[in-house]
Amino acid sequence: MSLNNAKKIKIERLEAIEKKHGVELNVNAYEIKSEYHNYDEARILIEVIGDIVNPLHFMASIYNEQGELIGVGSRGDIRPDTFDGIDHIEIEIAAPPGKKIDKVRVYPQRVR
Amino acid sequence: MIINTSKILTFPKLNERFGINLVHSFFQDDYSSNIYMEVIGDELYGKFKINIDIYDENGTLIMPIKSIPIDGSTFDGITANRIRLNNRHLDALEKCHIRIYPTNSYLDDKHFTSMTLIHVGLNYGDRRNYIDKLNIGDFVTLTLDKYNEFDKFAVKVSDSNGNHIGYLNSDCAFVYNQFLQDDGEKKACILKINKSSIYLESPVFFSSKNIFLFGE
Repeated sequence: MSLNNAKKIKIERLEAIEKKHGVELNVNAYEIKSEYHNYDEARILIEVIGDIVNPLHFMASIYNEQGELIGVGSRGDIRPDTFDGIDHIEIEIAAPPGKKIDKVRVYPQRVR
Repeated sequence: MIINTSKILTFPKLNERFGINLVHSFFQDDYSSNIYMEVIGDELYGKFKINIDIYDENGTLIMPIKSIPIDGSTFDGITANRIRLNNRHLDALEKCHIRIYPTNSYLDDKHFTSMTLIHVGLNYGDRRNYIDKLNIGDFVTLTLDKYNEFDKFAVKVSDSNGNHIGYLNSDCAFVYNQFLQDDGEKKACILKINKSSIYLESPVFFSSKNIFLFGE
């Protein structure tokens, strides 16, 4: 399925956390049918812009229409010594069978 | 095995004590079984961890699943985790349940465990009546019992109504005694109760570098 036909998912960014870590995230997310299984997937595209001090990875949580947490995923890392101010990341999260994805929450997190 | 969310217990009072809100959900399909969990909190202090463990119906720990470390100094207010359950976990869950709870026994240094045992004199007098009314997450008060004829370091444990319910075991009492000398009393939160013992969250956390006081 192409992204043209995919349903867009609402995005929630946590800007205070982005600011704390010196980044701004441009986020786009789509609900698509898995190519291999009978469930929906969130495909989350994140463009990271900024100037970072600490290594970061990026967290995403997906919710259904009832606000129930139905999946989490993370991806990274972006490290200060190799980050040139812009990069992109893709996170895929499978929803449980029968659950529709309504919203995704995305935020950076310092690598522990 | 098909399990549902009633198999997962959380302890709101304990969460509140650590300043966190735990949001969790559980999903199972033919391929996998996952708990999704978000930890949300404004200002957290010190280091602690969130344990996800399997307990039996008597409140005995059967199998730890995962410990998630939280460091208040780097916590941004939210984090999320996925906990995958394997077949061993699912087999155990036929008769058992999962507990998700925060604890301050952060295992990064030499330290005393936060699990403090009260087992001295639980069945003496009316104490069992008071103990039967206690719940996980309730607070008890620790005070010195200076005139105890058997142990000069004895530490008495009372419920929130002031009813005497027992004593700390002597090893713990010896350690806590010095902290109680300063303040007179400390509060501690109940983590676990079984027929012969009560486990408390320690009001004092020891590490090789620092001493953090968690008690009120």
